[in-house]
Amino acid sequence: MLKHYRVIDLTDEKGFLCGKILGDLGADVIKVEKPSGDPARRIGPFYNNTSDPEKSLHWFAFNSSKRGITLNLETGEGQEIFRKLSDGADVVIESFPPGYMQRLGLGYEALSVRNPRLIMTSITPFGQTGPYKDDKASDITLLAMSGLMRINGDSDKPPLRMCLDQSYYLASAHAAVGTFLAFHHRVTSGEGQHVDVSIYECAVRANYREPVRWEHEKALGHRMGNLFPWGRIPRRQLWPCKDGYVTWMIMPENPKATRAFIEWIEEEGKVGTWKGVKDDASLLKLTQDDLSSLEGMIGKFISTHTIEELETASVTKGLLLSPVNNVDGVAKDENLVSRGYWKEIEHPELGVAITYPGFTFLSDGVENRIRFRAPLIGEHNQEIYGEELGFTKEMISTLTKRGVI
Amino acid sequence: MSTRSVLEGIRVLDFSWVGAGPLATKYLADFGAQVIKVESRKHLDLGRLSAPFKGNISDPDRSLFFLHSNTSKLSITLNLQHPKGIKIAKKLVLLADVVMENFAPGVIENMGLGYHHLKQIKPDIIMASSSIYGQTGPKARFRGYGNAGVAISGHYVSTGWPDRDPVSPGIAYADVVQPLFTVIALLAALEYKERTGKGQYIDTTQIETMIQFIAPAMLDYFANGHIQKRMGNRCSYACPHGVFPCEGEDRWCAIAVFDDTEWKGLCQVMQDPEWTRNAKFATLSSRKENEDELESLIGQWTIDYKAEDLVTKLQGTGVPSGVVQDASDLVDRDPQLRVRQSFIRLEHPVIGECNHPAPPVKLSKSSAQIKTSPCLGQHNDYVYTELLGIPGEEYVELLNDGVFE
Repeated sequence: MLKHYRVIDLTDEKGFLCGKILGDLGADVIKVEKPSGDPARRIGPFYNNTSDPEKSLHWFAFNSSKRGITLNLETGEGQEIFRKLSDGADVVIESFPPGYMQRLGLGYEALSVRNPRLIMTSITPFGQTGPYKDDKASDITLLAMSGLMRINGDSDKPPLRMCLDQSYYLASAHAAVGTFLAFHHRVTSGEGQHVDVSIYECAVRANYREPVRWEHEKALGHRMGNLFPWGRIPRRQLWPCKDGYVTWMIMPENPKATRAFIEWIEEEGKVGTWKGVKDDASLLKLTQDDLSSLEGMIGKFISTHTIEELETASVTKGLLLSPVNNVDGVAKDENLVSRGYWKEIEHPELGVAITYPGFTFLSDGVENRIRFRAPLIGEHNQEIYGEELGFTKEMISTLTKRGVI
Repeated sequence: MSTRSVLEGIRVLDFSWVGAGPLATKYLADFGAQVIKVESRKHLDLGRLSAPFKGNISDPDRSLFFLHSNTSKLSITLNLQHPKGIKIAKKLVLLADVVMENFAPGVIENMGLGYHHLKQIKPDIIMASSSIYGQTGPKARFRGYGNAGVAISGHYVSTGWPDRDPVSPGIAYADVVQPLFTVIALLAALEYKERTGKGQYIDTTQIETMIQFIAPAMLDYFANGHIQKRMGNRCSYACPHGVFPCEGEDRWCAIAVFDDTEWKGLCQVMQDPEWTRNAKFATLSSRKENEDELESLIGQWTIDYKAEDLVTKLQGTGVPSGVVQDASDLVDRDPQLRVRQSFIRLEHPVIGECNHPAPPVKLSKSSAQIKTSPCLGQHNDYVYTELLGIPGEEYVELLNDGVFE
């Protein structure tokens, strides 16, 4: 769909996903690495647990659908080559500290003089402006600042991070949105622009509830483990079952689901009957004691069933219960399989095909599929420098020897 | 510099409600699309019923949750259970570029407003449906509550401490992630339509988008058969990497050390105590081996300081760090959010002046122009009489007939 767009991707792990999203949509994304390889190739997990820059599964996951070249931006020759690349590009995505690209003479202002249609998308911890713009940050420090960690975790434990690098992924998706908005602006105006994405602000936006509560109720949220914090009485939302966990909760707002659960329990008769009243009006007004007694019984009942039994019952009885899937549960989910979500991608140099998440949405118009595996270090140097920029073999070998590419 | 909003001239007919749908169309509205939110007094958007409410008065025009998810939109009331309501909806489709909905799969079809219906009357219409599992597959009709997307996609089980049960993130995280991909899909579809003149149907799901955000763990499973364990706040390639207790009630400082330079920076701020010279802490791998002890030693140091003071010092020596902030820090004090205008003060007709969330993406030539969120049915007159041109007499007739309820 975006196949007529060329994107130069200079990001590190903070912004990998942005280029991948555009690459899956068909854009020709060229990942530019240092001649020694992108430092983010050190991030595991690794194929076969072998720590090797060409075996990082993290790299594979977020750099598929991109081609790859090596280029040393800190040399004059490297900068000149980069200018040529950006002259022929629609988008440059980068995640260097603010000011770094300017110091190399490759900032948006300089590049846009040569190519006014160029869009530059910058993904940085705090954005290009403001008192914190030069501060050092990482996913955990940004999630900490966003207020999300304070409300995540058990009440008797420290604030807890979310898994992997969620703030980077959020920012990368926001950056893809910003890049698209800049495309739209360019259609009518003919001009590119600078898109400035603050990872911190993306994380603050994900914390959609706490700032509102503070502003209007002067209330601060706390870590409540697996209690669901909203409503009159906090309710339990994680339940151990025979082979894992499921999530479910008593919802006074939806007495139908609660009633259906009680009826199922009583039908089986293994853990007794509930002594409370179960008409809609009474379920709407559960006291803390009612809730504890009901949750006790339901907990006992759930612990005698498997995820599969509970999930099946949820669909047929309308319980609104979901499995808390491990990755193997995710991999086996029959709905994902039936929609063709998983896609095998060949890795010839490893002699295997690895299964990847295949798309981010289904559409009957635009292409939106993972296309090919992430590039090896400098894999497309010959193709891009030689065939596309017209460098001779000698030039390429000299530039390689001098550490430029 | 252009003053035209980037999506000016794009009209979106928005049937979506609660969280994941409205957050997608909010993005489009903030950047200038005319988003007409179709609501009904007979079946209020649950978002309008969600706390907190201004002045603690539960009223459809006083929900701050709603305000934060529906900025810059127009609101009309239309009774879609009335045959004439459906007719009017179809007339509005003729004027729209995009239709958005997130009812349970099947519902909009039954109303006669499914994509194949709309395509007949407007062949180039772009329509997006957003749901938990998707419009197709054996679980398409699955219904769950807020955290189903987090649970089914593997995020829930991956979040938490290694020796404890998993913990649900303190937010309905899938409602944050999915809308980003819905917006990407819609912007891609608009670009495609500009080029080809063709519309399309888009099917986005909570599960399929959320899996993109744990992709490395999925690849680890598919390639290595490995199921990753919960890691608390730790990170396989950094140490220390966590939050440490500071002076005051529930105050913490996040510190992340990825390399030896940052480690030296941390030691310098701690004033090089004897223990830091122990070989146990000399390298990243030795620090990882002794991480429990290291965390405890750092925690004994941080506890005597204010989190803010520690971060100032740590930033001074280049150590990634941040205060574990709460919502009062974000709303009342954070200088970065203030300078970047992350919350914008706007007047709402019922709620009064208050903060409105701005997009975390800044475009240098086509900035967002955020307006307050609409009261229920606030734009009936404009949409029905001005836009659709329904004559006064007929309008009153329809009104009395309950079509605009």
